[in-house]
Amino acid sequence: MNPSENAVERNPERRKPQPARPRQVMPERPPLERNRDFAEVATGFTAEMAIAESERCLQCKKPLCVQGCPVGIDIPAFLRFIADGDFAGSINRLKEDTNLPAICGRVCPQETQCEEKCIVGKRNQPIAIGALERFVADWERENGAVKTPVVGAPTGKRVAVVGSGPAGLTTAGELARRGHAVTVFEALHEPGGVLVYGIPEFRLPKEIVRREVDGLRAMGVEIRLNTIVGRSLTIDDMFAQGFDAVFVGSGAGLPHFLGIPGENLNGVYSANEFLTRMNLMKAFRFPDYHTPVHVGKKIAVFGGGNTAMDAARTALRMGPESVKLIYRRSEAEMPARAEEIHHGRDEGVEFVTLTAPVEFLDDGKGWVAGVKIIKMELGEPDASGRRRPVPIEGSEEIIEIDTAVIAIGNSPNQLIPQTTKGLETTRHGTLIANEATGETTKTGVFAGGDVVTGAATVIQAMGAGKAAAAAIDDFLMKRANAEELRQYREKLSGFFLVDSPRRTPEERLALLRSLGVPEPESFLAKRLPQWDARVDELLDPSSLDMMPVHVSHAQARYVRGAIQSLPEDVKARIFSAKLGPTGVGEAIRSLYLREKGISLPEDFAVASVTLLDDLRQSVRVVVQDGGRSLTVDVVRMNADAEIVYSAVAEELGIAHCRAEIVPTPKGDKAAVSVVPSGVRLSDEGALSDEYFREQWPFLVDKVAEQEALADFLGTETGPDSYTITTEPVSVVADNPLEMFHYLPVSNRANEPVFKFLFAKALPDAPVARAKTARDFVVRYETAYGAAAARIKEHWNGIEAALATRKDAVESCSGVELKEALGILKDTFRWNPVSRLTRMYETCIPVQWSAIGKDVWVWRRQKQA
Amino acid sequence: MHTIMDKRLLAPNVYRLEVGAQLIAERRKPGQFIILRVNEESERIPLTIVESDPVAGTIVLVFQVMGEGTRLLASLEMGDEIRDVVGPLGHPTEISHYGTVVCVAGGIGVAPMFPIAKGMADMANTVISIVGARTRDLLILQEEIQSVSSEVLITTDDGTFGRHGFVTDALKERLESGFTPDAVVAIGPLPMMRAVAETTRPYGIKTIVSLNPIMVDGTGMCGGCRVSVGGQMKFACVDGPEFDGHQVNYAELANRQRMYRDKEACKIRSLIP
Repeated sequence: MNPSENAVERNPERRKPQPARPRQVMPERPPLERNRDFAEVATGFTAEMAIAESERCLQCKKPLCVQGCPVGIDIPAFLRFIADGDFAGSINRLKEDTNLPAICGRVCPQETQCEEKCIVGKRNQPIAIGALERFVADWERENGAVKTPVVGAPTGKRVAVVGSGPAGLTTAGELARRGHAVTVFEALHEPGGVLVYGIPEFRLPKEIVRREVDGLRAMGVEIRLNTIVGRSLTIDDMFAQGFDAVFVGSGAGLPHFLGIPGENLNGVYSANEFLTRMNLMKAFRFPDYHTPVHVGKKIAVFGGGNTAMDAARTALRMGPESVKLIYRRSEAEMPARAEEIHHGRDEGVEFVTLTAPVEFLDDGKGWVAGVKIIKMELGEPDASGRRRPVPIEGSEEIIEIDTAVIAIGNSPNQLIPQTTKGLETTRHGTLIANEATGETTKTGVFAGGDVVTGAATVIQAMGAGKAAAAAIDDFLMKRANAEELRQYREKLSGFFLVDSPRRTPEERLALLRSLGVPEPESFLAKRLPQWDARVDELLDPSSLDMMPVHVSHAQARYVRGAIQSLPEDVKARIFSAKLGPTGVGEAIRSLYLREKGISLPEDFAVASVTLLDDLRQSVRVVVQDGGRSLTVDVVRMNADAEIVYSAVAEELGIAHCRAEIVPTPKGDKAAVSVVPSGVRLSDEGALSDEYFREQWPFLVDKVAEQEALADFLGTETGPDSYTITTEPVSVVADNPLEMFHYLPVSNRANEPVFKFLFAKALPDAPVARAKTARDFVVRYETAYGAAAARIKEHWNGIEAALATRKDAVESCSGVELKEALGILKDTFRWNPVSRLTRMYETCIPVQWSAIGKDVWVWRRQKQA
Repeated sequence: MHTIMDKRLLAPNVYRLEVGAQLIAERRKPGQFIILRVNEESERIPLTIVESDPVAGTIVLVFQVMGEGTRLLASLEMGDEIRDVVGPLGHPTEISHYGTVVCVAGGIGVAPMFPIAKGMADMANTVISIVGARTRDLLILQEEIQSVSSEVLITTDDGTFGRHGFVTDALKERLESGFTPDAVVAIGPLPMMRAVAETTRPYGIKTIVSLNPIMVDGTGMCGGCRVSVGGQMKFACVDGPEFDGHQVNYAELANRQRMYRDKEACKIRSLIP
């Protein structure tokens, strides 16, 4: 990434981390100045402070802070840019992970998330991550350096997002990046949800929310205000209007009341109403703004959460005599952020703890004049783990007040579940949704944030939104794949077309006839321009390759759809016509010679061509020569795939895996191997070397595990064929490298699609692309979780069995093996496990990442 | 933005606006309301939808100038824009075949009553309307209400038109004469609705009232419109606006409606140079 021109200072050489340096403290306006107005309390780091603070970061290799972040921001990465003085680089890096950094930097409870996990915090004070996040986000805005994130190529899919709070905005941004068309529906007249109606100006300036929303608009997100889903339109209407998926992030907007007498007296507010009047309607600027609010002289706020703090501090700014915050437990149990409690106290909020309201008293004119309270003491812990407050008998008192604000929580509005068939709720009124994906009980409807969890934090809602966006994307593209394929098959059945700007109609007809396509004229009449050129490429013998090289996944599907709809003999003829002059043809001939001992003619016949799956760039061909036939797999691959391919084969010492890797005239490579003892690798495409180094040991480990498992289970599996029982798919892998199939096939099959999307969405951001790829792999792991759990159970059995058969391990002891392992690690850059396999064929240690420990396993003597 | 397509003065300080709002016009049902905000500074004002034209994409609103918000609204002319209009809000009126339905409307309550009376008539109910106003000049939508009622009784407080007295006098007289309708719907000022409910209570006649407490968001978020109905806390915006008239705690609601009276005065003062 290029350093910014606006960078304050660029450190010529990286300094050593300075964890022991004291943590920078964000400047705040003096409490007695700030409690008179609505301007922001904390003024933010200066550039110098930000650099100094980020230099404290240890740049951990396995950063715990990232684990503490609900949206998984790569914290060391953006801190490193700050330390370099490259603020533009920092914000760009940050925005790869989050759409709303200026907001998160202000309102996230960092002390219980990233900063709590920070290693520096174990001995010194943790890095001020929140303040740094805020700093770079503000820097970007103040320097006019705001860059709209790159939006992916349009997918043609439409998603409706209900609610423009933190969950909705995050989901909208993430989906827009992936190229989906997003429409956000907001009930109020301003976008932002709780960010505009709930959180006060002095904690989160509304200008910042507006900017973030403008950023989404610039990404093409449409925001429809004043639209109440459930009344203005329903979720079923949305599907009828052509939306392909819906995300519900409608929050928890139904206020709880105390349920005590006098609650409906004038002067008693819910925190929602009080804050909405103040923040959204700007009642603090009454009468310039017309919405009134009643703030008397003596105010009591009931509750101990962040909303209660917001209400108390807001009330304080209206200049009353006193603001009391009345809470039934002690301060230690308050759910509010420590920082907010501290701010409130500094500004003059009086804390009245271990006190519960019993009744509001009438002044005789319908207004609240006081509250009768009762003192509490803490008893046994309740379900929430906090000690339950118990009333102290006879301790009632009356506190004189003229305004009360009740801030004891919210639950979700029932409007959407009430008006949506099939959308089910828990008994608390929250939507039932999968925690990891946000899937609700209704197909195509996802949900996240407070509407699922009940009232929680902004960042949790954003985390849920981010996860849901990934799941929605998955849902849309999977469905798109299946549906489009069906459509193309339908379209293509019965005709096939050939077109190309450089071919005359006569040539096309001749070509079609020569290929034996029935009724070539009628095909030419029905041209579908978006895919005909590609099909032409397929048909063109000079294109020399089964699959076009640079095609989008959608185009690839068209072509594959075309291939599949062709009669088998036509397909085979096309293919053999294309094979003639290519390295692939030569490779097949040489394999044939090796396997059958017979030299094929150059224009050998191909009996059939089968696509191995809908999306993978590989085909299986049957080559025929007289009465003999040979089945060969052809896989297109690039240089990276070749490295892995040959390395894996060599590492495992599997002679029969060896395939012919040939360059094709288009500049990439094809792997050609004989089935069933051949090797088939997925084309790992544009992924980096580093990626493979990371991934490869994992795959090799899986090979060893499987063999061990097979031995243990006594199943009849040899190196050519392992029976793997995993959920949700069971596959028979025809060689160890087929471990790819260990993972659910449906996921693997999507791989080219995702890769295509990564490349499209992030053409200029290799780091982000690598990270997306990583996340993608993580998703594989997630999908694989159920199988892992089952196999883990088997492992326990394996270990037990091994314990009783330890003496059978003849070749070496565990200690020796470990030593050998270490040597090998230094000698070879690859994971040494499989090297060991070759040296000590009876016993190998496997560290299984899924269970995080070393286990000893048997391994069958391998064939030479 | 929502354009004012038509503006008419129906009575002193009572206006009828036709406002462009396609989605609302298509979906609204009798008894539902909208919330509008004239401009950036103004309040959110709830108003019942009187009529709608789904083809033209317009809704009709009738309002009386009461405070600053409605004054600002009244200052708009044809072609002007209303910044925000959201709806339809609230539950629609339970329109079904009751038999005989008495629709009691006071003041500009006639406006929201009209679509309900029409809906009731469409469901083959016999509709008897009792319309009251302070004085003759304030009687509005007479023709409209006539067109959907089999009988219309008119009362004025000052006797300038129709019967001299309150709507409840007319209702009470009918009930005492042995007439028992199957349902009564009352819309108007709170004391009037309360009086209607008290009139029907001894007869046990189903009585629906449409409440108009102070509201902010209209989506159930603020709880400002909370009313006690049968001892339970209800939010008029999402649980109502119509409730069983015999269950409503009118005294509490009347008190809550007075909450910002002094602020209103202050606001108006501040706007007079």
